[in-house]
Amino acid sequence: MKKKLLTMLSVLGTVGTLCACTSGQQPAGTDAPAAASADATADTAATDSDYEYIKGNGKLVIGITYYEPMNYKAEDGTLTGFDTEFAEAVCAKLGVTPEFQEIDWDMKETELKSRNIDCIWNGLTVTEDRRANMDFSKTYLINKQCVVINQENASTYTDTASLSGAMLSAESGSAGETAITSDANLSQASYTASNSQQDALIALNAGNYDAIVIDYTMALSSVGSGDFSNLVIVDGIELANEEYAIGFRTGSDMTASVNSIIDELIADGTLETIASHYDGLTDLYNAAVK
Amino acid sequence: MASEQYTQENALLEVKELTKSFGDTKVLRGISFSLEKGEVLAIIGSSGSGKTTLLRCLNFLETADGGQILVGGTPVFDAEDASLLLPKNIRKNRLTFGLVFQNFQLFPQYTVLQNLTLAAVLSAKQNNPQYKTDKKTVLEEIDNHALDLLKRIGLAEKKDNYPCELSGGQQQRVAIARALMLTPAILCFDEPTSALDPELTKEVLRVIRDLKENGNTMVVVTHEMDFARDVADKVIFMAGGVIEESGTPTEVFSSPKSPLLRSFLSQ
Amino acid sequence: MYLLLSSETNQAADFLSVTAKLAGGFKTTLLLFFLTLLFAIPFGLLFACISRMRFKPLRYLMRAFIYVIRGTPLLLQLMIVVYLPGIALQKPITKWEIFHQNVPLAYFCGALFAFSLNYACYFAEIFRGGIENIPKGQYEACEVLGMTKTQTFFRVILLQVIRNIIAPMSNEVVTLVKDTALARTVSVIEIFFTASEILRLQFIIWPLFYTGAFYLLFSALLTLLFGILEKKLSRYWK
Repeated sequence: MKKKLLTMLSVLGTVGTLCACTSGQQPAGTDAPAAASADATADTAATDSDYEYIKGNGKLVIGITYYEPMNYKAEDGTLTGFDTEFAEAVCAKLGVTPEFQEIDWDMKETELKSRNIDCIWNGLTVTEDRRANMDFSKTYLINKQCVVINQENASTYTDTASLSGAMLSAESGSAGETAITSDANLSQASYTASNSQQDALIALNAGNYDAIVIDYTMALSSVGSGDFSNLVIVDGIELANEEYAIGFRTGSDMTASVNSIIDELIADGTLETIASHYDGLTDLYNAAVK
Repeated sequence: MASEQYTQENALLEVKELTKSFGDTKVLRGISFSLEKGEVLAIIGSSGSGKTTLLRCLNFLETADGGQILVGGTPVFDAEDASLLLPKNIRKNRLTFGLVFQNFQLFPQYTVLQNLTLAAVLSAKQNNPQYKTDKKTVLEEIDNHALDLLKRIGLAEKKDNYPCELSGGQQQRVAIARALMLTPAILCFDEPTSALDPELTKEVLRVIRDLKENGNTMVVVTHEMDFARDVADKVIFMAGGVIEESGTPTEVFSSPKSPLLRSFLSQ
Repeated sequence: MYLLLSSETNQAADFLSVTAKLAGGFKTTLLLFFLTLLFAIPFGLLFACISRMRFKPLRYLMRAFIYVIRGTPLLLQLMIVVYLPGIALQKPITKWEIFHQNVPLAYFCGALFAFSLNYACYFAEIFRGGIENIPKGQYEACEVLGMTKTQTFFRVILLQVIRNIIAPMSNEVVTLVKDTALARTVSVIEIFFTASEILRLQFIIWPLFYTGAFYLLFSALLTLLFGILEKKLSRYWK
């Protein structure tokens, strides 16, 4: 009952900000201007110490969407995930209670500025567009994209230049696809979108493609095992990476406080331990921290 | 007319020692009879006696295992003569016979007139050299022939109707006209009225009577004993694949000799 | 007032641009649909004829083949056509010379092949049923009128077969419209793939449901067409 009321209130809050915000109904995907116009609200919020505000509330409201492995419901119904455990560890040091609030991802900037939530902690990718509307903590994971090929082509395809005449694929709409289109060499190649990363792997295995670009974690877990034993990751190709960080209100003093706690958690190995609970995340953690 | 090319010296139809088996079952065990031009033969017998198979052998829907069929003294079927079994010879010889089915078997997608003309037009296209030079006349002749026949069976005004729009009796009359289109020497009927109720039966039998008066030679497999007595010149009673008894209607119906025939007639 | 107007035009533009994108995908859907029919109907007729042949080995082989195709998912057949040449024969479909390194063309042709084969088998069974339902007497009536087998089939039997199969064919054809969505799994950029792409890139879900309108509209058109055809043919039958 209490939870329902809370949700309703937050919805009301959202509607309120929406009305105040001139371009609140911008098409999704171009959310940058949506929040830019609401800067006024954010600035007034940041004049007082955000840190004191949150300490005073006794809780940190964390905006999330459910997705594995960051924030998701375990089989017994409890919320778990890398970001969940990470946030709990940070809040323990801050001396506040973490409160996880599910949000509409397209509305995340509005939610943040309206103080419905205090931060976005949900495998949030650092982009320049977003930097205009929020402050990022230090990067805690790096989701790399990598090129996977058949072993017999290992001597042919060694760098992006050698792949410029090849047949490439990636999951449609994925970071891998962006990596291909934004790379000077790879964008020259013949590209076909796949329905999923798995489909791309099967098609590569069948020789339908010469190379595919997929998540590093996905590649690590699949390449070299089972029927994909003849697939290899091409070493030394640097593609556009996705950096994950926590988003705070612009100018908030929370960013610095949380950054120093993250440093402590890295130093005492807590964060590494949390990463080890989830497949492949240790690699992303190492990429970010070491 | 096809029926006129045969001389009077021989019987128009002669069937000699016809045999036919389906697997181990002997359906026809040596059937012989003859029929003069203009005569009507009625074949009676209980079901399974082989009468329908006999009719189907005459029409080449079944191939007899042994025996001969002669029309006007000329063999059209001989189990010993393989050349007569060639498809092109069968196609030619089978037109000696016309067949009217128990269930009419009109073509549902064609009008009454088209049902009559279809086969004639297709045959003219293939065999009549005039079709290429003067298609219009050929088609007109076929149409006129069909209309004449429709007038004879009293259905001229139904020429543009589809079969499903006619009563069963009317459909069977159209089927008779369709069989007459190719002027067969002998017209065969396979229980032509057994799918009809009594009222409709009458109009079909009236047409068959009318054909007899016009001199058509006919073989009728029938259940209608009154009709057989009335119209037939000869009656054959079949049982177990043989002709158990034959003769004029008076002989067969009034003084049957075979006990099988007697019990059949008393049913 | 200005705010209201501007947000509405934004939404309208969004709706129009999504419609245009989906229509682009639907073009591929339609191409796959019509080409599948173009190949599956004659091949279905051929398969039906073979499965009725007197020569037993060929007849049973054909029937076994039809059984296998009808007994396995189309999705699996798609994957076999697109992946198996590369995995089992080392001849990846995208590298066949006839496709000139055109990957989308190779995938489309692969999908078309699987769809045509699958539907030819379904059609074959419908055709076979339609042919076998014609009374034997119709053939015999033609035979005693001296018509050849070819004349019998094309002049008398065919239209009756068409009438017999029109209802089951109508079902199957409408199913085909919806089945084309499976082609997305082998990278054929049809309407469903396009909608998923919009979801992945712009995080909007409604285009996915909006595809239903395209399918529904086209199915309605087909149902209407078959209805007219059926009505025309029923002119001759009771």
